[in-house]
Amino acid sequence: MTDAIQLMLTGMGTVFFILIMVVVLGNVIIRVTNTFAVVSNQPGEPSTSGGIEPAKLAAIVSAVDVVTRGKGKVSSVEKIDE
Amino acid sequence: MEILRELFNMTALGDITWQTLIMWAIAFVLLYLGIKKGYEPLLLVPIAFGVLLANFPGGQMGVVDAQLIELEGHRYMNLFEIAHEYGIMNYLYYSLIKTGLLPPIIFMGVGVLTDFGPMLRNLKLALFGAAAQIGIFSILLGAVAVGFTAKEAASLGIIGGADGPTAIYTTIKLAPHLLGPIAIAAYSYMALVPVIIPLVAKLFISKKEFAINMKEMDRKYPAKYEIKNLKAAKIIFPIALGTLAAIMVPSSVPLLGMLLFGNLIKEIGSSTSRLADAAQGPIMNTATIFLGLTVGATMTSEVFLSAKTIGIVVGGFVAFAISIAGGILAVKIYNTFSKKKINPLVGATGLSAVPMASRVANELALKYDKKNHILQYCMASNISGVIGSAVAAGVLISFLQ
Repeated sequence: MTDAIQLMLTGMGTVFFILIMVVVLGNVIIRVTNTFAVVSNQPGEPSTSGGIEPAKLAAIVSAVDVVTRGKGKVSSVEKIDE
Repeated sequence: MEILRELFNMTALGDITWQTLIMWAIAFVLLYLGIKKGYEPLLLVPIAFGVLLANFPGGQMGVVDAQLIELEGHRYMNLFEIAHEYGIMNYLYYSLIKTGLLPPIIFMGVGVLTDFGPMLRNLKLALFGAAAQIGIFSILLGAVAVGFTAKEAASLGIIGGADGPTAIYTTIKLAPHLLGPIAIAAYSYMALVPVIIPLVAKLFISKKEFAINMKEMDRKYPAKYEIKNLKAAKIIFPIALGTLAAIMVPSSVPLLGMLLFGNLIKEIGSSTSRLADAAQGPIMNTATIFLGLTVGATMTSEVFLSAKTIGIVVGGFVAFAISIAGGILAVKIYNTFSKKKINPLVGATGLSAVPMASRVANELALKYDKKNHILQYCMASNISGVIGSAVAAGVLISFLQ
């Protein structure tokens, strides 16, 4: 029984320690990426002139990314009036 | 007459006992729950059919005790000998399950399906995933007190983590003779999350607490900083966490490492999307079929119809309930010290049952306030619960194996 209590304390202690480390690690990663890997909106962001909804634009960008396996970039999206 | 007797001997009719009939009834109930009620059908259906296969007399599909394949000098039969002597189900069991191969393979697929985004956006909530592991260790104590061995008690307690592959992996390592009942209990209670969470939550949470609006709290007390490049953070996170876990709890690596690998190949995006598709599709589905069938096949009447099975069924439920209550109480303690209140339902989802636990908690919150969508917050503690239960399993294995 004493062993089981010891195991309980060790186990819960380890789980808390690891998840506290997850919180710390997550914060560090966010701060590092915020500092060194800020996404630039200008070059990659497609320009639109046809009033396309953001959700549709995101779907187009995502589809091009998947089809071209990350090599293709959308530079502009225009609505063609027929 | 002689021909009729030979015909009768050819059939299995003479070998059917009352124990066989009970096992068939259990299999039929599980099939009913999986097919008609939709309770975890992807696992309950293969497990239930495995139970049936194992209990068809003369079918040679039941998994035999490990002692039967043991040879002198701590050696074991090779797989060909096992297949020849005890049939293909034992071949599958001893190659895929006893080696501990399939649960980490399934965890890889789970990793692809996991999104760490909600957790990264609400990192503090990850701690409630730790508090919700208390059920595992409480039942470990209780089970030891009522006569289970430490290894059996740990395998029983891990049901409280609400994570099927973790429960199976821990049991394979510590108490393989209890694999069938523990897998059934773990998956049954996971399927019953929509019943168990509201039941426990209503016992411990007041109406006022149910109505705590998380988004309103965020507006009142905004985060110190925003995430400017979530994609980069989500790629670095599994690599960094995997390294940390490997250093601190090496025995959790087979599960956690594969989970994080699966997550990484998803987060990288289109350049590894083929790997991610394979991991979450054909590989995970194949692993699930063989895991379910072989785990079910361990449940022969001699193994299943024992007092320990009843202990596992009861203990598993209590472990589940204590874990939910542990998460809720941790939030309540936090709320007494913090201005920014957290809805205790976020603590209730510190279990691993992703995403069902979060969905149930969200629906429960919406009953008290139609605008209170807490799904994303619940997912933070829910996902950290997956990490927490894998770490707990690692601790149990390294101390008891």
